[in-house]
Amino acid sequence: MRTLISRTLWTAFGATMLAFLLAPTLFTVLFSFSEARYFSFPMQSYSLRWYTAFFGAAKFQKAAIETGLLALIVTPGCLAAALCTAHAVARWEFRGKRLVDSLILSPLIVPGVVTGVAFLSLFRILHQDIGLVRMSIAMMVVCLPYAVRAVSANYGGVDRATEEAARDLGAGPLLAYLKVTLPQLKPGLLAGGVFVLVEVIDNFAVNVFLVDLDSNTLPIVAYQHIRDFDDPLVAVMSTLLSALTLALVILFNRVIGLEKLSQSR
Amino acid sequence: MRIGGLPWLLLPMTVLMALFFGAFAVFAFVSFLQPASGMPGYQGPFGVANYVRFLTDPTALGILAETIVFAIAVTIVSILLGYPLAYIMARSPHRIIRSLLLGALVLTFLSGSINRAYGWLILLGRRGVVNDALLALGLVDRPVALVYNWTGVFIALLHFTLPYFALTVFGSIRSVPAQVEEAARDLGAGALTTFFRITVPITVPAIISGAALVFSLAISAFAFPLLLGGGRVRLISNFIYDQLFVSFNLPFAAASSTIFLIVAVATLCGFFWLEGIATRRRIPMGGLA
Repeated sequence: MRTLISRTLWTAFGATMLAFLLAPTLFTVLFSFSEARYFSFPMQSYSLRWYTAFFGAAKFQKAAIETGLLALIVTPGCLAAALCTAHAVARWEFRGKRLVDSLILSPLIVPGVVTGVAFLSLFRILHQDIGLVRMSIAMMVVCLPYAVRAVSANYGGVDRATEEAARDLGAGPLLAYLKVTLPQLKPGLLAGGVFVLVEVIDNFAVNVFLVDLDSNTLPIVAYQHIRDFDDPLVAVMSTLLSALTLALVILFNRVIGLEKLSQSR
Repeated sequence: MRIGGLPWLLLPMTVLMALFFGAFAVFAFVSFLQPASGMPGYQGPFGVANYVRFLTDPTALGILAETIVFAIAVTIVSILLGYPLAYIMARSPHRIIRSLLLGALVLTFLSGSINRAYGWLILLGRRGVVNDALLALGLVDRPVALVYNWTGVFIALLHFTLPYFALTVFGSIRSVPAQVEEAARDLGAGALTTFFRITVPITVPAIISGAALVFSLAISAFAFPLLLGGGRVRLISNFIYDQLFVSFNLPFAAASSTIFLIVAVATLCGFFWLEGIATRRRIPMGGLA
């Protein structure tokens, strides 16, 4: 009897938590298909009119292009920097290695708004006014810890015997690295890439200080829209971004398994 | 392979870190200046006037204190809800329940703050789903104010921090060998006793590091109070933002950020110190894990 009660309680708790975690996303998705401008539940009728409105809105188009460009610059840049750093830390002995370790993690400790204000002060002195340049640099710094941690966690599992075998068979160091080492780092690169991509697309606290007049990113345009208008356009944006995130999570689960994710962050 | 004794592979990381710390050097310097009247730019005299202003302003100090108390509350509730959640994920006999919860946590933790704040606006607004449900169930006679106050910010922030905490302790609970728990049960301990005397104590270091993570996320909260606070809830990040975009006073914003950064790093060091003690205490307890 007591086990039955405790089992029921655990199940009820788990179900409540699941509902709590998923409710905001589920209702946002539902609202994006609304016919009406205002939210009511259950909804009277469904339509795709807000999707048409979203894809036709110039400000969201521009912001999507800007955000995409930012992701295209930062994700490969950050992963390349992380690969170099992780290789040096894993394979080479040098003085100040521990210092490097803790330096890389330092952007994690600093609150987003403080990082934003700091970069704004720097770029004002350097007279750098282009939002995309300012955000690219700041995002590379903010995302570097995630990328380095994900790739470093993977380095321990690289089989060095296969690298030596490749060298013995006549491959040069670069070829051995590209053909043997790099493929083994795929899970770490993918995990790091997902974190960087998600951070770049969603970041608000740092980028809000660094945008210029024509370089709003999606979260910033969404914030301005919510402040000034009352319609489901942002629900459409959220739904599309959630679909992208879901696709990334599924891809990640296929290649590495979700349980690894909690270990690499 | 090496230039000047430093591995050349560290070059990209060095450039990025130099920009980061360079930004902080400029920012610390600006915090000792005053805004130039009329034009964007700064002027002397060089001094600690901005720091004195923050530390003698009851409004600023009040916002800092409220931010800390609020972050502590979010941390406590995250532990109370996040630990059992992680426990179910680690120990449930049903694979479906485990993967469903893990998937929901990962998805939540990867979705953006503006998106989620928006979702909570839909759910908690005057005509939102929660108020409709409360009215339909007859629990209240008129809509309850759930957003544009501390309640809404608290709920949204908890939703944001919960996955970080649960994912941090999840790994630690899973690494507790099931045999240890079974041994306690065989020796006559009940399920609750086993949970509180065996599982929880072994995972204390993970609880502290999860709490540190949640606390540092909660004191830095910015988008949630901005959207769900309706101007009434202002945390320290919002105060700094207003100094910049309402008062156009970068030097004062920089000084406020410096004080905030010192408080944030100091509390984080406190957490690490606690974690160190907990880890050292744990080992004599049977040398587990």
